[in-house]
Amino acid sequence: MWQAADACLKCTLCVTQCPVVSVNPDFAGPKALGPEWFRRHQAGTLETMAHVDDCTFCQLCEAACPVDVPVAHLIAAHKEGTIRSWRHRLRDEMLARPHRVAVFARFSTVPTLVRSVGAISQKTPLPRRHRESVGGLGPPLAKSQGRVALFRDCYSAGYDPGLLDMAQALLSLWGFEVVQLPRVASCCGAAAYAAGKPALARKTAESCRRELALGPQVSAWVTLNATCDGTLREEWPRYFGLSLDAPVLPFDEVALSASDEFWRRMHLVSASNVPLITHTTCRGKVARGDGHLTKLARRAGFSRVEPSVAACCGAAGSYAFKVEHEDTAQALAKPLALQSKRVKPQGFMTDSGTCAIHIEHVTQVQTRHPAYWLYRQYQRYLQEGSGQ
Amino acid sequence: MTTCGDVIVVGRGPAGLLFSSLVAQNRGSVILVADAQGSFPLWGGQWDFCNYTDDGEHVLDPYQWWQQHPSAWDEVRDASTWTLRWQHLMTLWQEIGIPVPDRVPKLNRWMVTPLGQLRPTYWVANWHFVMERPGPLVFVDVPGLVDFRAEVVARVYTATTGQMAKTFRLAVPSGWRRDWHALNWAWFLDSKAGQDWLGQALRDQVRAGEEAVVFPQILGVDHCEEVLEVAQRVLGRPVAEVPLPPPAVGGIRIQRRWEYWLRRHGIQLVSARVTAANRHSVTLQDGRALAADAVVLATGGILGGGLEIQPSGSVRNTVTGAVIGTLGDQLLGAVGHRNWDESVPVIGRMIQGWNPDKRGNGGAMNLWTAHVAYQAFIGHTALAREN
Amino acid sequence: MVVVIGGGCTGLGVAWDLILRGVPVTVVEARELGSGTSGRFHGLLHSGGRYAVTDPVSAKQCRQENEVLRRIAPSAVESVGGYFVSVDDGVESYMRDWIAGTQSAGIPVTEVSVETAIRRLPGLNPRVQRAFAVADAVLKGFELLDLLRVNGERRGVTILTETRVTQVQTVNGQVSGISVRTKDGERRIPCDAVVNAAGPWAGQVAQLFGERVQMELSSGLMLIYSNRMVPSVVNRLAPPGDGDIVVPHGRTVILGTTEVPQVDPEPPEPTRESAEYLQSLGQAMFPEMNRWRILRAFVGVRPLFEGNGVVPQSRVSRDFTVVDHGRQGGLQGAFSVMGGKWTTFRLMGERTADVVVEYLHQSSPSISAHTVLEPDAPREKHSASSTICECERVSEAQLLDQMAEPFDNWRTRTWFAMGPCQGTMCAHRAVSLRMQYTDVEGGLDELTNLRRERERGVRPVAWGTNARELALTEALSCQTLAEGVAHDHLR
Repeated sequence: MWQAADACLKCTLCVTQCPVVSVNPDFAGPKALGPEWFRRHQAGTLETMAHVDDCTFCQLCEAACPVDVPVAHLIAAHKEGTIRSWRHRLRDEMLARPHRVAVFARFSTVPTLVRSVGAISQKTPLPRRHRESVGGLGPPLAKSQGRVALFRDCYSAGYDPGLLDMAQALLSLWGFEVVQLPRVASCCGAAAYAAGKPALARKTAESCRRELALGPQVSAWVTLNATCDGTLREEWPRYFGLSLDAPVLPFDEVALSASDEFWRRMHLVSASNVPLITHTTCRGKVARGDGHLTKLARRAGFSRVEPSVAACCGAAGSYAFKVEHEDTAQALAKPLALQSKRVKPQGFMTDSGTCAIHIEHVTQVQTRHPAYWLYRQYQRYLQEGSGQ
Repeated sequence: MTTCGDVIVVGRGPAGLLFSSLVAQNRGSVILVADAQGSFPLWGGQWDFCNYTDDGEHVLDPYQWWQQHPSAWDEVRDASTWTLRWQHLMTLWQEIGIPVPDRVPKLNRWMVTPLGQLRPTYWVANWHFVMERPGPLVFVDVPGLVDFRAEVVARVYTATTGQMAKTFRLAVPSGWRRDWHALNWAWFLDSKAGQDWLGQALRDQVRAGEEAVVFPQILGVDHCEEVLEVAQRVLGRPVAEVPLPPPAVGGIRIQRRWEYWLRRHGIQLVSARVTAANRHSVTLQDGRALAADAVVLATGGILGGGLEIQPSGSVRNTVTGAVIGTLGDQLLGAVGHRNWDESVPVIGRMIQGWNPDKRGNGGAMNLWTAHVAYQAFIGHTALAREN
Repeated sequence: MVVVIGGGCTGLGVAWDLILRGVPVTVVEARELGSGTSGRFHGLLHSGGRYAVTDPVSAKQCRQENEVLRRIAPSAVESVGGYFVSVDDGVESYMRDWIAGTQSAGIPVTEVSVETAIRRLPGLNPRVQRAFAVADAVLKGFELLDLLRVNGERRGVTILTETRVTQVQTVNGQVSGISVRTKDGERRIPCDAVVNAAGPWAGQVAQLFGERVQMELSSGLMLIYSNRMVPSVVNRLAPPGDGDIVVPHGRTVILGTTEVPQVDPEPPEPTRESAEYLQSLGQAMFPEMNRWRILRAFVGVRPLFEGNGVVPQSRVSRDFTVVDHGRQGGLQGAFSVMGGKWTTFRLMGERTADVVVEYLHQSSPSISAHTVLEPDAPREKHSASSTICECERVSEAQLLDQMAEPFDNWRTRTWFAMGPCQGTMCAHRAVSLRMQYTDVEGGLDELTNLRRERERGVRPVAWGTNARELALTEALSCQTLAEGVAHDHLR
C-alpha cells in the first residue's frame, strides 16, 4: 500500500518544518514517529510511542521530505495503535465525523459539563454559526465558462452557509454556472484520517463520493477549504482509490483567473488603507503552495498585505478542540497574535473555517475566507463605486 | 530600476532563493516551484568560496586562488566581480534580516567543526564562530547533545592547534529531556522563559577571561540575536556557535527569514513536482502547466534530486530527462551538467566543475551561477522587449 | 590441548564440540570473530528444501541441524518460516523432483494456495503458480558467534583474536605446537593437534602443515534492502541458481546470491553491474523490488573444497569435508575441515571433533546437539541514555558497554551505523563518544575507516534514493565535519 515508506534519508528536513516540534517538547517529531516507527513496525515490533496523537496531520513534514516518504500518513497509521480512555474514544468517534457534528450547528453553546466529560477544550472556542444574508452580485462579467461544482464542505454547510453563497455569487459573476455539492452533509474523510482512523476515513470518503456522483456533470470542483481541497485531489486517488471526473481547484486559484474587468472594478473601491494578513493554512501550503492569498488580496486592491508568520495556526480541524491539545494549539497560534499586535490588521484572510475561528480567538481580529473579502469588496463597488 | 518579466524558478535551495531574490528585488514576479523543502536546514549556513586546493591544502586567499585558476568561465577569475557579488549578498542578507558584517571579508577564516577540527570558510552570519587565527577558546557542553561533546571538541582543538581550550557544562532547564536535539534547545531558548533560564544558567559560569565562548549551534531560531545578546551580556565576552549536522539551526534561521522575505515580496510558492520543462514553461506532475518569460532549474544535484543515478550508473536530469553522463569514481557532489545554459538554464548544484565537498566552493557556486543566470535572463527579456 | 585455526562458525563449532567432550581448546583467529565468510552470509537457516534435488545428503543434514539449532540456540534463531514459490514456466518436472526430494529427506512441506501466498508475502509476483511453506528460519550470525564465544569461554576455551599462526612445530612427524604473531610479538603455543578451520583461507593454512590443498572458492553477492519488506524467507522454486532467495533479517531483507569462481580468499569488491544483475533476478519473485530502498551490497566467499589427491576422511556429503592429514601420510595431528555452510556448522564441528578425539585416543561422544547455548545474563538496562544511532536505536549506554571491543566488533555487537543511513548521522557521534576514552587521533582515524568501510558496500548500489543518501554522507563528512583533513601545519 505504501510507496516510498522505506526511502527515509534521515536528513531531518521534516523535523525542521514541523510546527508541533517547535512548541511541544514532548513530541518526538515526524522522523521518529513516522518512518523510524514504521521500519520497526514492519519488522514486527508492536509499539506505540507516547504523544503520537500530538501530530496535527498538517503534512508539512511530508511536503518537506525530499524523497516522498508519506511521513504524515505513516504517523496517522501509528496513531491507530494508541490506547485511549473511553471518553477520548467517544469524543474522537464524534469529531472524526464532522459532518454529523455540523448538523447541530444551530446550538451555539455546549454546556461546560458536556465539554468536561467529553474532554473538549474549555480554552478553544467552538465554532459559532455565521448568519449573513447573501445576495447576487449582478449579471456575469464574462461569457459562460461552463458548469462547476462548489464543494459544500461540512464546516461551511454547518457554520458558514453564507460563505458558500458568497462564493457561488462570485463564481456566477465570473461566468460560471454553479451547483453546490454534495446536497446532504458529507465529509471528505480528512477529519477521520487526522484522528488516526484511516479505515473510517475511507468509508466516509466513499460515501461522500457517492453523494457527489448524484450531481450533474461539471468541468471542475471548486473547494473553499484547503484541507478538503488537498484531501479530494491528493488523498482520494492515492489512499482511497477514489477519483473525481473533473479537476479539483481551490477557490483562490479560480479567483485569480477572473477577468480584468472584475479586478478593475475592485480597484475602484481600493482598500489600500486596510491592512490585511494572509494566512495560507498548513494544508493549503502542502496541497498548493503559498503566496496565492497574498497575490489575491493585492490584486483585489488590498495593498497593505502581509503574509502570516505562522506555519500552522494550531486549529488543525478538530485538533484544538481536544483538551489534551489545547496548549499546543495555543502555542502554535502565538506568533500570529504577536504579528497581529505589531501589524494591527483589520482582518485576516485564510482558507479554512476552523482556522479562522482559532485565529480570530487568539488575535481578536476578524478572520474570514478570501471569498468573503472579495464578496464584500465587490459589494462596496456595487454600492459606492459602480457610478464611476 | 529595471523591471523584468515573470520567471519560474524550480527548487527552493540556496541557488533558487538567491535567483528569486534577484528577480524580486527588481520587481519581477517569481513563481517558485518546489517539491520539497530546500537544503538550507541541512547545513550551518556558511557560504564557502574556495577552501582547498587540488591537493587538499587549505586556501587562505580565495580571491587569489580564483585568479590563478582559470575555469570554464573567463569572468570567474575577476576578483572585482566576485567582490561585487559578495557585496550584493551582504546587502540582500541585511535587508532580509540575516545579520552579517558591513564589509566583505578579504580572506578565508577558520571555523571549528563538531569534532573540534578546523576548516576554512568565507561567508558566515554573525552568529557563526569564525576566527582569523586559532587562539584559546571555551567550549560549552550541552547535556544530551550527542553531536557535540565539548570535552572531545576541546581535546581535538588543542591537539590540532596547540591552543588552550576549556569547557563548561550547561545545566538543564526544567522540562528538558534527554532526547532533545539542537532544534529542541533552539525553540526553547527562543522563548522568554528560555532566555531567562539561560541568563541564570550562565551566571554561575562567569569567570575571569577573555577567550571567546563557543556554543554548539542551539541559541534560538527566530530570536537568536536576543539569545546571543543574553549570553554575551552575562558572560561579558564574545559568544558564537559551531554549526552541527541536521537539524542545522543556522540554516533553518536563514531559510525562515529568507523565505518570509520572498513571500512579502509577493513571490508565489507552488508546491509541486516539475516533470517537464522548457525555456518558457514547466509541466507539473498533476498535469498543470505554468508559463513565464523564463524558466530556471535550481533543483540541486544528486542529493537535492535534480540529478538521479540509475542502477546502470548513468546520470539523468530528473526534470528534462536528459542523460548527462555516467557516474565514475568521483564524489557525488561533483556530478553535474557541463554548462549552465542547457535546454533549460541550470544553476547551483547541477553544474559540473564545482566541487563543494572536495574543494569547498559551494557558496561561490550558488552565488556565481545565480548571477550568471540572472544576467542572461535580463539580457533575454531586454531583447524580447526590443523585438 | 587442541588449537583450532579460524574464528568463524566452523572453528568455534569445532572448539565448542571439543570442549564439551573435555578436550582443552585454543582458537586462533587472525582478525576478529566472524570477519570472514561467517559474517558475510544471507542469514538463512535452511529447511533443507534448497538441496532437495541436487544434494539429498545436505538436504537431510540441513533439516536435522535446523531442528537442533532451534533447540540449542533459540535466541539466535528467528522462526520466520519460508516459502518456495514457482514463478517460472517450464519447471514442472523440477517441481515433481523437488516434492519427491523433500519427502525422502523428511522435510515437512505444506502447499499453500496462491492467494494465501500473495496475502502473506506482500508484493509477491502475482504470476506465482504454486507455493509451498517450509521451516526456513533466520540465523542471526553475529549473535550465534557471540553465543559460541561466551559459552566456549565459560567452559574454558581460549580465544585469541588478531593472532596469526606463522608456523606449526612438529616432533617426530607429530604436531607439537604452533607459533603465533600478535601485535605484542611472537609466541609459541604447545599443542597435541591442530585443526585448520580457516574457511577460504584453509588452503593457505594447510601449507603450514606442508600440505597442498586446492580450494574451489567462489564468491556470492548479496544485497541488503533497508526495510523488512517480506516477513518470511522466500525461495524461487527452480534449480538452484543466482538471485533465488530473499531473507528477512532484523529490520532488513537480504537478497542472495551469485556464484563467481575466484582464487583469492579475500572477498572481491561488489560491482555495480553484478548488483544490477542480482536485483533484476530478484524481480522475478518481487517485481517491485527495484523500488525497494536498497542499502548496500556485500560479498562472501564460499570455501568449497576440490579434493585433488587428498582423500577425505569422511566425505560426509558434497557439502563439507574433514581431512586427517596424518592418515594421508602427512603430518600427524593435523586436520582440515573444509566447505560447509552456516546451517550445518555444528555438525561439521561434531564430525571434526570425532576424528580429533580418536587421534587423541579419547572416546567421549559429542553432546553439542543437546547442549543449549546460554546467552550472557542481560546487561543492566540504562534507561536514561541518549540515542546515538537513530536507525537501529543504539543508545550511548549500549555503546559504552562494548567500549573495550575493537572498533569493528563495536559496530557488529551494537549494530550502530548498520541501518538506512549507514552511519551518516551517527558515525561521528559514536566516534566522539569513543574519543572520550581513547586518544583523539586514533578516534579520527577510526571514523575515516568506518566511512570507507560503509562506502564500499553503498557505492556499488548508489542509485536512486540510496545515491542521495551517499551524497548526504559525503557532504556531511566533507563539509560539516571536515573529516580526513590534515591540520598539523596549523600548530
